[in-house]
Amino acid sequence: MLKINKNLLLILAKKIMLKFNNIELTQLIKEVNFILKQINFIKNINTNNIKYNFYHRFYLQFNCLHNDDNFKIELQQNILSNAPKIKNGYIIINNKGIK
Amino acid sequence: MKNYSIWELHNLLLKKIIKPSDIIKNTILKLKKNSHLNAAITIIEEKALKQAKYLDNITIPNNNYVFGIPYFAKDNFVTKDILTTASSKILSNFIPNYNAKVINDLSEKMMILLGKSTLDELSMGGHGIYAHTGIVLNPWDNSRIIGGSSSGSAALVASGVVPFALGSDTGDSIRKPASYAGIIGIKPTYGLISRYGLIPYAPSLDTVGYFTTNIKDTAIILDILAKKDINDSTSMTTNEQNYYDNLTKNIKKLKFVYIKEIQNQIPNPLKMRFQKLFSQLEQLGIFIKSITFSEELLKSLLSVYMTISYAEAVSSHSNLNGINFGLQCDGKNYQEIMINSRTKGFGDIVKKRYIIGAYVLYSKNQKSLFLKAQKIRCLIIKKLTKILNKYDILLLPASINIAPTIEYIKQNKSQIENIDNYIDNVLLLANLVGNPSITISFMLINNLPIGINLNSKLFSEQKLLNASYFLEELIGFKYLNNNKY
Repeated sequence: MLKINKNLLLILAKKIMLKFNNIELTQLIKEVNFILKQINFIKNINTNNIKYNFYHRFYLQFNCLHNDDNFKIELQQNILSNAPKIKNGYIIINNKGIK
Repeated sequence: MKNYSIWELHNLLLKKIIKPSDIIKNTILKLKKNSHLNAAITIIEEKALKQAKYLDNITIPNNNYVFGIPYFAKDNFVTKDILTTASSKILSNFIPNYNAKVINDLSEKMMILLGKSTLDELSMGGHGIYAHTGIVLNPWDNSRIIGGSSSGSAALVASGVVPFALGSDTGDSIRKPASYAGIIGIKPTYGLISRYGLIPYAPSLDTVGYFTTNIKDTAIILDILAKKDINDSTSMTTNEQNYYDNLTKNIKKLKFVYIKEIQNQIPNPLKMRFQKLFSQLEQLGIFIKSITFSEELLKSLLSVYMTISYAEAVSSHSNLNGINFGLQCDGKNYQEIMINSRTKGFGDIVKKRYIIGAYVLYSKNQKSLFLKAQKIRCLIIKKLTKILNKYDILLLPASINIAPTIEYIKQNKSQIENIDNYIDNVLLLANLVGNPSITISFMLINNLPIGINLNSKLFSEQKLLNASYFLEELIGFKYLNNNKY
């Protein structure tokens, strides 16, 4: 049976860059284990001789060359409106300590 | 002004009874009247009115049925210079510098984008209660959910504010809300409509779709949106064209089927209504037959969906880290900034799904879970494709009951994602297979709507629309929202 414990949850949280307090961890373990119990069902299904074989059309991607003559003009200010601020080639990040 | 469909508004514009600016002014009034639904995140009132006034002086081009018609887009479509939040705190300040392909396509046809609609955060949730701006209410009964994740779009069409709204469907996110809202919700074939500019949830399942109040309008919109896009590598062409012109109720040659295992489990009075429909079809000389489907595969739908979609989600959203764009929290170094931004920026449901996604992708689980789910997906595709190649239309329950109350969902959160309730998850078939699927209104229970779902094989939207056009009349619930509002 699939199951998650506090240690594994902390490992996974670190991998996906999230943090949880103890109350959240307790609740999360309960809820995630309920879902894993549902997911466990897939283990009952016989998939012998089934190849994960790019069957689905999602994997039938095509590659193409973009037409270089099709261009549009955009103001630099607009393009950079969401970009992080840069100083001396470095991205500026807030460094005020954790709030 | 009553709640008109696209087709009706077009005729009023043609006859010069109204102008585009009249429509926009009226729509804004309706929007304010329905503000308690919490369906709109951003309203582009000034710009929309300016556009409409410009259109007031332009002759309507031939066969442009959507000229001057207002619409809303789910807030996971990027819109140039317009706030695009995906209903997540982490994108609460994100203003994109380009438009999604579908937004450009509608704009070229001179439709007017009036605003962005609320969704379950980053399209994850399914109930319409997980947006960072709060719960979206069902216009039929404000104590009930509208469903999700395209909750705001569904509520705005159901309340008659707009005749059409864009949504996206990863795991029934358009077709289930359509059932709860008494409107039409379509998820076309995967690849038929460009996903360029759609903030992803699970890219192998995400499909652009929309809500309308009737099948004629559905066909009109599909004619605009169904086109190959070089910017979306999964976009594909179809031989079908002119869905609206080819719309017909002459469907005598179509073969309808339903799945015995599902039909047996549908609760009354919905089951009786289905049986009545089957009899009606038989009496009209239309082929209708029950078929069998592996119950084991049906039970696996939710598990397979969760395994694949949560894994894809945690990967897709790794760029939401507070560094490049979006909410940025303080930290001693860039790792801390990312962790703090993500921890503060995401809601509980999203975090839970990321953890499960990370678990599924954890090196020792990849083969036994992620790859296993992909193999089962292959089995499901094979099984359903065989059915849809042999028969034309598969009928399914769009939901097994009317919209639950918000209170019920809050109290029974953990029981809802349960494989034992598999008949309430059968709409996932079309996401896993990629075939077109549509929900239309079917019946009222306690004066609340419930829909029926139709499916056809890949790229056979015309057949699906024609069958829906026929059933829409046979069932008799066209423009259901207009009867109430």
